[in-house]
Amino acid sequence: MAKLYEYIVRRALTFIPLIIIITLVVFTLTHIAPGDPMSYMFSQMQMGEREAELRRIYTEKWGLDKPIWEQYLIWLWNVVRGDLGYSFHIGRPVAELVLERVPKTVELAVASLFLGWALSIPLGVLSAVKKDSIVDRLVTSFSVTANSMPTFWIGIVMIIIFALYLGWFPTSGAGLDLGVVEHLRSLVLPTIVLGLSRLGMLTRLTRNSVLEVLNEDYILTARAKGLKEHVVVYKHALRNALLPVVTILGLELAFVLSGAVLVETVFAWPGMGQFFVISAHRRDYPTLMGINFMACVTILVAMLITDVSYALLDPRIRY
Amino acid sequence: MMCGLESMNEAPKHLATEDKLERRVSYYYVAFRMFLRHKPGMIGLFVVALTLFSAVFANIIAPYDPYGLDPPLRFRPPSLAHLMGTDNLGADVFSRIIYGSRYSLAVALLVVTISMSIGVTLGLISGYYGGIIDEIVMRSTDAFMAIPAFFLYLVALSLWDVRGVWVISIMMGIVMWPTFAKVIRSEVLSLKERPFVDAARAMGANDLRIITRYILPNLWGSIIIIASLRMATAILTETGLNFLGLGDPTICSWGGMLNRAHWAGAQLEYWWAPTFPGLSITAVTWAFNLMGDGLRDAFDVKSWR
Repeated sequence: MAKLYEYIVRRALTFIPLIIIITLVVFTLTHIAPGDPMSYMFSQMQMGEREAELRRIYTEKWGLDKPIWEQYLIWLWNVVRGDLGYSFHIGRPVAELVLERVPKTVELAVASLFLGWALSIPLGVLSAVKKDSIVDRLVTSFSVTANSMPTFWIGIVMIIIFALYLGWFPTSGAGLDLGVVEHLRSLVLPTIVLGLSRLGMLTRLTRNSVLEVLNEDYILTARAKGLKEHVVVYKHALRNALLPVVTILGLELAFVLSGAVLVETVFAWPGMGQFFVISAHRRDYPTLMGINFMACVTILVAMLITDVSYALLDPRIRY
Repeated sequence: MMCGLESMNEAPKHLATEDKLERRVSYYYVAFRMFLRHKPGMIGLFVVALTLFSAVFANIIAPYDPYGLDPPLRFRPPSLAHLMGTDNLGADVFSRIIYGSRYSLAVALLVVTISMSIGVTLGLISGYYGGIIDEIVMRSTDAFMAIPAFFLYLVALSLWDVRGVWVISIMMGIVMWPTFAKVIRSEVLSLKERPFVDAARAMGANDLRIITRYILPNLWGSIIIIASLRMATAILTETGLNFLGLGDPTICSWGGMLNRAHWAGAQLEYWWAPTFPGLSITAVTWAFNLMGDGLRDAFDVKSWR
């Protein structure tokens, strides 16, 4: 266990240069891009002397007149101190704004990952156990097809069928102020869409993993002992076969975060992804950097958890 | 593949010195034959070929000008005149889909070419030389995989006004190389321990020659499999970006069509506008996925027995 602890610390330390490089790239990309937050803010106004003065004051206040590298260092130093800055547009702390929206995205991500797992594990096991049968072919073609459909399009189709035509679920929005039932109803469609996008990949992973384990010698031994087939599969094989499926959670999270941007846009779901798209239009630098930084840290931590959970679940792996 | 066929038929006439070449040709020849027998793979190949055909001959196939706007003809349901109806601006959906295949295929091809060039080169170098170079390359693949890629595209494309085919392709190409690098590296690691590499070195071949003439020829199978599967991913990502309105609005693209259909609202009343572009994206992505799987099965030596 001490070794594992050391490993976690060592890996966490390698995150620091990674985060610096990634944020530097994003920072440079945002700041050298044409158009600036000033032009967005003042685009609705008549440019008089008062506005020019305002513009000058804000440029100075936000440090936009400084060279980019200096702006980046200031940003980085503030992050080290735990300050993500203030949103240009909304004027509230970025951390606060992001944290307001995180639960919505997490809710969607968790629900859809749960759905993905709950369906893909039985499907994958079934198709591996009945390899080359009709069931296997159906499951395999289903997973390839699910893998090939663009999430946002499934979203649009679901809205047309289940929200507009049948009227079972609302087309968009979310919020507990509508009441729990209404909120859960609005969660259904985005969850299915996002879950379906991961379902194909997870089913395939489960199938391959089970097939691989079924070829192992100890399964042959178990069969040779005369154990019943379901005992062999469910007691001996499944335990090992599900390892990679469970531990991929970390990487899945990264995919779901990316997918959430599209799904949230289609369903007008008030989460991080939608907020990011809006902030990009407004050239709200601190907010963009804040969301990027959080997403980046989340993915890195998730990758670390993946590796650690592997070590914890599989006694053969030692660090 | 034609040369593979010929040399197989004439095998007995060949000289002993060409034995090495002979076996290499026959490896790809067997894989090719296996692929021909792989039904889903052939379906995929057929759909890909069809898309390629429609992309190349778009100006002949498309019955209308995809950019032509005809407001009186807005929201026309599918009919004989307009096979897939017209969209909210009166453009013919079928013609736009035909032209859209150009954009999707061009972007996907560029993305895969760029990421393949970077990934295969770095994978070869890091696997062959190992040590500090390997360490640097592998840490960079980690870094690239930790980038929230979609967020990066969003930042870059929503802030920059230049969004042509090249900008999207280069960005995605740069982000997508690690898959190639990782697979190629692990294969090189095992290939470089094989006797034929030692033999080549004993004959005085330098590193460059060993890599390009002895190691790389054994990797084409893996490269073509990943390339096919990455084409699918590239198309899905590209259409997603175009759906968010981050592509070039002046070019006909499937994602852009979905964007237009989605924001025009009243989707139930004109279901054809979002349905057909989505089906096209699904079909092409599905075809590349099937083809990739078929190739994987065909190149899997274990399945030959």
